[in-house]
Amino acid sequence: MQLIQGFISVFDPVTLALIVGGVVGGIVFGAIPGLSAFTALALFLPMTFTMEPVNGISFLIAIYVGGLSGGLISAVLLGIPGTPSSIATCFDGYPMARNGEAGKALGTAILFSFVGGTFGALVLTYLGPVIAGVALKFGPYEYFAVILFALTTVSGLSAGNINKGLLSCCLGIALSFVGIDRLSSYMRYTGGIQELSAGFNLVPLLIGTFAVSQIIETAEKGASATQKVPYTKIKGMGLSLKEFVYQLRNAVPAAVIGLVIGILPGIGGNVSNLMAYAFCKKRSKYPEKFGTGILDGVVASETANNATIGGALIVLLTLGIPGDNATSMILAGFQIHSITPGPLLFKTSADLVYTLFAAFMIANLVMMVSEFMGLSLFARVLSIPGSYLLPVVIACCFVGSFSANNRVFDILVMVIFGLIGYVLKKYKYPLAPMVVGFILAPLLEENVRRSLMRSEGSMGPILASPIALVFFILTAVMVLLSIRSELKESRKKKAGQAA
Amino acid sequence: MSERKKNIASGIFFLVFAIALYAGSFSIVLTTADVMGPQFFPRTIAIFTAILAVVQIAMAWKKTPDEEKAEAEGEKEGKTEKLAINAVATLAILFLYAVLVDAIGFIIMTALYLFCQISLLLSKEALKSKKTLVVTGLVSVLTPVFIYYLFYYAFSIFLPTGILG
Repeated sequence: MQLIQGFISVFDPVTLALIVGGVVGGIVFGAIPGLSAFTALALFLPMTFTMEPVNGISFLIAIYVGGLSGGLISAVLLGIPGTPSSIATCFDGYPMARNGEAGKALGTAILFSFVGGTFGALVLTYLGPVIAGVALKFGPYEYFAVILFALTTVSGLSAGNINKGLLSCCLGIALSFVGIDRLSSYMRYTGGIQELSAGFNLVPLLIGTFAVSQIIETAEKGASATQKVPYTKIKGMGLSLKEFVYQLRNAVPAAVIGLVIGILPGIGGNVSNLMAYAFCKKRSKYPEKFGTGILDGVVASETANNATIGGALIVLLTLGIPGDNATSMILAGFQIHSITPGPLLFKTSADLVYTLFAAFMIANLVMMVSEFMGLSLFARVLSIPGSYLLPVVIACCFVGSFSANNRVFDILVMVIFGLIGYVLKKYKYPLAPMVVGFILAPLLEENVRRSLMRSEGSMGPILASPIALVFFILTAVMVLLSIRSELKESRKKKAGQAA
Repeated sequence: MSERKKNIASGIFFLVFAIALYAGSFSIVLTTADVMGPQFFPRTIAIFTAILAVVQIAMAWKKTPDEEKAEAEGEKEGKTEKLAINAVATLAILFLYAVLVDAIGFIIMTALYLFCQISLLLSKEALKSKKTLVVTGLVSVLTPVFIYYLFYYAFSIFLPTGILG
């Protein structure tokens, strides 16, 4: 009933217009590599000062939804993740586009973004407070176990060579050491460079590794690599009902992974898409096809990153904890209007809460409709020769890196990571494990050390936590499964060579 | 370079990297610390990286002649490796951009970068056409001007003005 009331409140012309504007603006920011939902939220936050609370916060949520989803456009068309949350979309979306199936890849990504987003919204609406209660039980012990588990995704992202995947991950972890140590405040590995005291920013690292390395590679391959790609027009969303139903086997676990990761502050959409991709690849009957341009990979990634929004909003609304940079901007949006998210919000401002739930659901629908309507426009990108398109994208990346901290130093960081990404690709090291290592390592280190401080150096209390123990067991199972599949693979190779 | 040599070379790189990571942990100045301290993780990762690097080298080293032959044949089928002048040139202009953009400014440096980069990516035949050169020039100049003013007026992000400022 309260939800219906919420929908009635949202169906106000101004609110609806703001949701549409927010989603479209978010999509544009998400689609440009280097700019993300966070950038869009930071820029548009001041505009909400003069708005009604419902309008202002709905607007911010709409930007968040659009920003997280917009990344899929550049991921599919250019092979460059528009935002960190669409890294895994590149793995199969881009090969699909190169095979002339850009429309199908985009349509599927958009449809499953909606599925993931709506799943998150429904869970948020009906189970939010219950889930928040469980999330409260997560202390350093549990975080330590969950992040360790998340690190096992590296095996699924290692593209057939787990040793190289692990080395790439170690490199990412090592890079995360640069800067001030969060717990003790000691400087590490900065080499006396003042600009490195806060460590490497994820944005220049990511666009350097994926976008800059790509232009270096393209330059090396020569003009043949910049040929136009054919585009086949699609009917509907590009996939049949049969394909949609079949893909639900990937979408369901991906949505759950996305939601759970979204609930846990600090991890977020940056990792959930990679985790879901790795999971779906691992349980697939044809894991070798992942990365060659199949729907499964696109579905896993896009369902997960949009489901993450629902998870992130659960902890934001019910506990008042922002899970990432973007949700901290939404929290600021609440504070501007003197509203404090938390358990009390459901009692004191239930109307507002349910209106926001409704706004979130509508934002998902607007996201799907507007991206679908923009399909032909996005497809035009493919008609621009790569010789012009890629350099212009890099020019946007310069701006993205610069605006991460408003300093030129980050452009240099981006170029250096471009070189690192290029060399890693040349020596056939997968790039995704490096990004996973870089994002997860600080969280892992912080929680391990916090855990040991709390348990006075003993592992006993950590293992006594039932949630932590479950995740430790899951980690061990994942490691054993990875070893088994690795052995199977090498036996297959040997048998093939003997034949 | 053959696949085997590449694997050995990258393994050696990671081994050296691990040693540097371990050695670097000694320069973290400590007064007091928690149970593990800020040195523990870097050292653990350094040791883990070193083990993986050794495994990498050993695996590449003991590849049977058959495997090596199969790989070499596979490589022959692919593109033969040539001196990647264009890749080096791209890197050079990217580094020059990063170093000079603050002093010279976003619009001028981006225009120069775009012109050089597009010329590098275009085929030699395309570069002979006057029309292509005009289009390249226009894209190179208009893109940074558009981006600069879009970010200045719409988003209040002030890109470096350099000598134009």
